[in-house]
Amino acid sequence: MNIEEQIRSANPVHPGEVPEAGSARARDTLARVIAGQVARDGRRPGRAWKWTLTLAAPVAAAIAIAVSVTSGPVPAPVAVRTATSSKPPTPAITPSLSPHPSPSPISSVTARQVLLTAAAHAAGGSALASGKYWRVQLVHGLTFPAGSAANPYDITVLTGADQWNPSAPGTKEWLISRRLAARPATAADAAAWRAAGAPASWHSGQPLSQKGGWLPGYPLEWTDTLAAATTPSPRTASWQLSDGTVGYVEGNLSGLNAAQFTQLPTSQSEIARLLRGYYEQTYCAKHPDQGDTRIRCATQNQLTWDMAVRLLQDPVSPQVRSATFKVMAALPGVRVLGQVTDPLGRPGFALAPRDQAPNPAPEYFNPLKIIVVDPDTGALLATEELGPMPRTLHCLSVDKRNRCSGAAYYGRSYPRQLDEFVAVVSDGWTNANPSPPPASQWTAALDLPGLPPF
Amino acid sequence: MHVNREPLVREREFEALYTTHYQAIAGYVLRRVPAGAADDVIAQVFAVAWRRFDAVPPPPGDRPWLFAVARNGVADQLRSERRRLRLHARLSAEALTVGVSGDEPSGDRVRAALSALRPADREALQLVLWDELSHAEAAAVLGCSTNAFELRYRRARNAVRVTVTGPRSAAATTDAPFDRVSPTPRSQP
Repeated sequence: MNIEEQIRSANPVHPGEVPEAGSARARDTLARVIAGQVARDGRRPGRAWKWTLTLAAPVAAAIAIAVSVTSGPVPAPVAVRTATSSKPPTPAITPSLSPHPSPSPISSVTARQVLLTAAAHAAGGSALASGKYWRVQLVHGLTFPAGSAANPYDITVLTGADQWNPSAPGTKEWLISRRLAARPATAADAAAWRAAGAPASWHSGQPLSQKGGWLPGYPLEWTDTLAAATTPSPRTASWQLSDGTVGYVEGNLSGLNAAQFTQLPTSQSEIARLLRGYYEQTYCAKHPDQGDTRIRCATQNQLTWDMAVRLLQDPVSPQVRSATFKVMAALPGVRVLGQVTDPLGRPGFALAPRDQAPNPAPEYFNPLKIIVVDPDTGALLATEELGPMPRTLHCLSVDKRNRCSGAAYYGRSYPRQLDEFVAVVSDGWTNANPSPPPASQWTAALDLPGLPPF
Repeated sequence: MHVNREPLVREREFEALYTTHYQAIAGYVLRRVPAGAADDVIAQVFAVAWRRFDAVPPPPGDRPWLFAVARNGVADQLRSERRRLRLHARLSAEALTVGVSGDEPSGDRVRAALSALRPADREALQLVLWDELSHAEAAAVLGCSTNAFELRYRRARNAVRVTVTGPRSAAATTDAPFDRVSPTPRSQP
C-alpha cells in the first residue's frame, strides 16, 4: 500500500459514517440555520451562555471554600478580598456533598428586588480596571448516571479551571485545569453509592449515544466516555496564542479586547441598546414575516437575558455590571425560584427568565437554565441547568464492533435535578503571571497559523 | 453573478446548496472536531453561507468556499473551546484519533506522522485524501496557488512516508531531494 493509500485509510471517519443531507440530523441543522438559530460558535444562541464559564463579582475576587466531603453541614464560605493581590490563593475546593437544596420559596422577595439590590452593590465594587491577565477560576460540575440498575445513583464530575487571558495579543493564553474528586451528586445518591459498595472510580466502555447516533442537545461531555474517580488528578495545562480578545460578549462577532470592554457605555439605556443589538443581528429579527413554522425564534427579551448573563461574566466596569443588572431587572417576568446555596455552598438567589430562548427542536433535552446571584455583593455566583436527566448514558462494556453490550450505568431522574453547573471561584484582572505545571503535563497547544478573520 | 434574491427563492437556492454539500462538509468537520461538537460547527458553516449567500461563488467555486469556511469554523471551534474553558479541552490531535479502534498498527503510525506535521501541511494531505478535494480545490481552500499547494502536498506526503517507513525506503521513492532532509518540514509561506 503506498503512502497515500495508507493516509487515506487512516481517515478517522469513513464516508459511510457521515450523515446524508436527507437525514433528520441534517434537516434539523438546516432548519436551525434558516431560522437564525446559530450563534457565532455554531451553538444555539439560547444555549451558548451556559457553556461559557461564569464570572463572579469583583468584590469576591477569590473565595476559599472548604466543605466536608463525607458528612456534616455546609460551612459558611469564606470570602477573601484579593482582587488586587498579585498572588491570589489557590482555592481548595471540596464541594459539598449535600444535595442541591430545593429552593425555599419566599414570597416576599421579587426577582426585580434581587437584581436591583445586586445592581446597587455591583456599582460599589472595586477591582483592578486592567492588568496583564484577565484571570477566571471556576468549578465546572456535570452530573452522570453512575450506579447499577439495583442501586441507581448519580455522580458529579468536577473540574477546577484556572484561565489566564492576556490583554496583549500574541502572548500565551493559559488554561490550567484539574479534575477534582468526583462525588455522589446528592445525599440520596451517596446512600445508593454506599449500598453499591462505594466504588472509587467509574469508567464506561462508550456512550450510548454512539450506538443510536446522537443525543440531541445534550452536553458534549455526556457523549464522551465516562472516566471519573474520587481522587483528584494532577494539574494539566494548555495554551494558545491569544488574539487579544477576552470575555464572552463578542461585539460585532469578532470578540472584544480589554480596551473595547472599558469603552462600553455605562447607563442602563445604553446597555439595553447594546444587548438589543445582538437580537437585531439574528435572522428572526431581520425577517419577522418569514419564520419557518417548525422553528420558534428567540424573543428580544430572551436574547437580552442571555447576553446580559454573558456581559456579567466579562471584564467590565462596576458601572456596566450595575447597569446590566438593571436591564435584567426591567425584563418582564423574571422569576425568583428561591433562596439557595450554590454548588460551592454560597448563599444566593436562584433566578430564571420568564421563559428561556427556545430550543429549535422541543423534543430535545431542554433543561431550565438559571443563575444564582448574591444580591449583597452583586456577584453572579453560578449558572446551573436543572431538569430530569436521562437515567442511562453510558455502556459499561462494548463488543468487538464497538457496540454496547451488557450493562449500563444507571442514575436517577427527578424534577429540578442539577444537571450541570459552572461556579465562579474568582475573576479579575491581575498583573501576576500564571504558574503552569511542568511541560510534561501540557496538553497539545493549538496551532492556528494565519487564519483569516471569519 | 449573484444578485439579490427574492427571499423564498433564496431559501430554495440555499437548500439546494445545503443538500449538495452537506455530506462533504459534515465529513470534513466530523474528522476534525469531537463528535459531540460537530453539528454545531456544521451549522455554523452553513449559517455563514446563509448570511452571506450572495457572496457564495457559483459552482464549482462554492465547494472550496464552503470548505474554507469550514476550516475557519473548525479552528474557531477549537479556539473557543479553549477560550470558553470547555474544561479538558479537546484538541485537534484528539480528533485525529476518534473512532479508529480496530485499525491496524500502521494506521496509528500514519496518524502519529500526520499529527507531527504543521497544521497547514496536514490539512493539505487531509483535504485531498480524506475529503476528496482536487488539488486545485484544496489550494483554493488553503488560499495558495496550485503550484504552491503541489509543493506543500508533496512535502507533507513525503514527511509522512519518512516517519512511517523510515528514511531509507522513503529515500528510494521520494520525488524531490529536499524531502529527505527533515521528517517535519516547514511549510511554504
